[in-house]
Amino acid sequence: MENNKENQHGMSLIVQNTARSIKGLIFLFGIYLTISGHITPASGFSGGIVFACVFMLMTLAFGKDMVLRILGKTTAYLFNCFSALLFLLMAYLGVIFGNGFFDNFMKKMFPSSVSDGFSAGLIPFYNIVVSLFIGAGLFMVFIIFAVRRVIEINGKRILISTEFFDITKKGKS
Amino acid sequence: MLYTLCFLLFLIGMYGVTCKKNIVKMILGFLIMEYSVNLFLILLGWRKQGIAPVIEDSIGPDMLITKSVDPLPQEMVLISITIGLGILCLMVAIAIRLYQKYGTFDITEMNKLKH
Amino acid sequence: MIETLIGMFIVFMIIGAIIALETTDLLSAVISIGAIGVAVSICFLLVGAPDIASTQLVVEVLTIIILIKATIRHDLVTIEGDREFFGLTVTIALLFILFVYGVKAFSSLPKFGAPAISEFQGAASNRYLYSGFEETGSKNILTSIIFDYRGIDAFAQLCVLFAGIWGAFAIMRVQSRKRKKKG
Repeated sequence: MENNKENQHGMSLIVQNTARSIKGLIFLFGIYLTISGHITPASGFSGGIVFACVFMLMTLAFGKDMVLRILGKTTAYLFNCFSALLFLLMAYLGVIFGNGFFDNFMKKMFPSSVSDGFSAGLIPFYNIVVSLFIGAGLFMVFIIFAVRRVIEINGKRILISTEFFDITKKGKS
Repeated sequence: MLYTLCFLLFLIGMYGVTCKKNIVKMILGFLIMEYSVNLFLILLGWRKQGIAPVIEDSIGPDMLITKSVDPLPQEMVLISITIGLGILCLMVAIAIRLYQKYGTFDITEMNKLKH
Repeated sequence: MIETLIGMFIVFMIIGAIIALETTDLLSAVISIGAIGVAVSICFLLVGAPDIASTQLVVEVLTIIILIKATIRHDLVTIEGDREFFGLTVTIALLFILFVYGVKAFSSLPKFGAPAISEFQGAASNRYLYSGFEETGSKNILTSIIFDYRGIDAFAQLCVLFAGIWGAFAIMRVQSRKRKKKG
């Protein structure tokens, strides 16, 4: 029970204030890495991991209740599965409109100048989809590791999940 | 010379995987092997006074072809790093399950306490 | 110059690896792994791969958080030795033989600083470098290779990551909740 209380309150006040003021900037940096993946040395992979890191920072600072309220586990599953499906769909669009699988047909349809942000056809969209996939998936795994815990009852070890206890406790009080 | 040092790092990781009793130490050995292979592939594509394969205002495609480093190993390594993270999650999950079943991270203890 | 610098970093990594494998405290072992990862990231930055360096740095942070959060809580300090003496000796002898033959194999590789693309004009990377910007419109050649020329690589990566994440999730599933609902 003491552990549950600790997790509800999170870390100390200094850490909480720092995390609160810094989390928007880190999220913005992740968006920058993702959007500008075809112009600067960055890609959707690092952007997605930065997204996951923001939620991890919030989990460590404020406790897992707040994060589960903002971005539930079900939302993370949906983001993960549908972005993977969308990636396949975008690759398959090349068969319909272009020459084959993974054909960059938008580049041929709308040739634009270099200074344009979206000069690369489908590549920025691929970056966005991949960053959503990786961010949601890694956040999911982390929240699973943070929530599950091995405890010992009557000499027998079992694996329990602590998220439901916290929510019901909060609803009662 | 650098390739030999990378290979030494790989062998140290392999020693950790094969000779250690603790599961966490085995996972760490696996991570060391992954780092050394990634580093080796990147070092294989380096050119003297090489620049990153990014086109800028002063660097055109015909300048890139004589000066840039090899982009193909970099692409493989970028994919391999991200896969490594997923594999790490799987390994840690299996380690926690084994701890729940046997109460220890030690492999020789697990052999003794067969359920 | 850059060769000696990278060599020093790799020696640092070897020392870190030995400390990580031989120490008796699990927490200091995980922190040593973090030091190795940061050194790898600096090496990537030195040899002209900035996007991989940034990705490696972020992945390193995540690796340490997952390892500490998931494994350290269960038993913090373990004092452990190696396996039996006979097996250890045989393994180290086999690793030494592997080392000797591996060093011989390295002499057939291209020298450090002279990659294969500078010698063979028809290599695939040369075409990517020369006409990548024209054909895909992406200024970063790496992104154009990942999502256009070799898109199936990225697709396979997505499949493997999906399987890994959902496999970890399935292994960590709690079964007692179902029984409560039934009963």
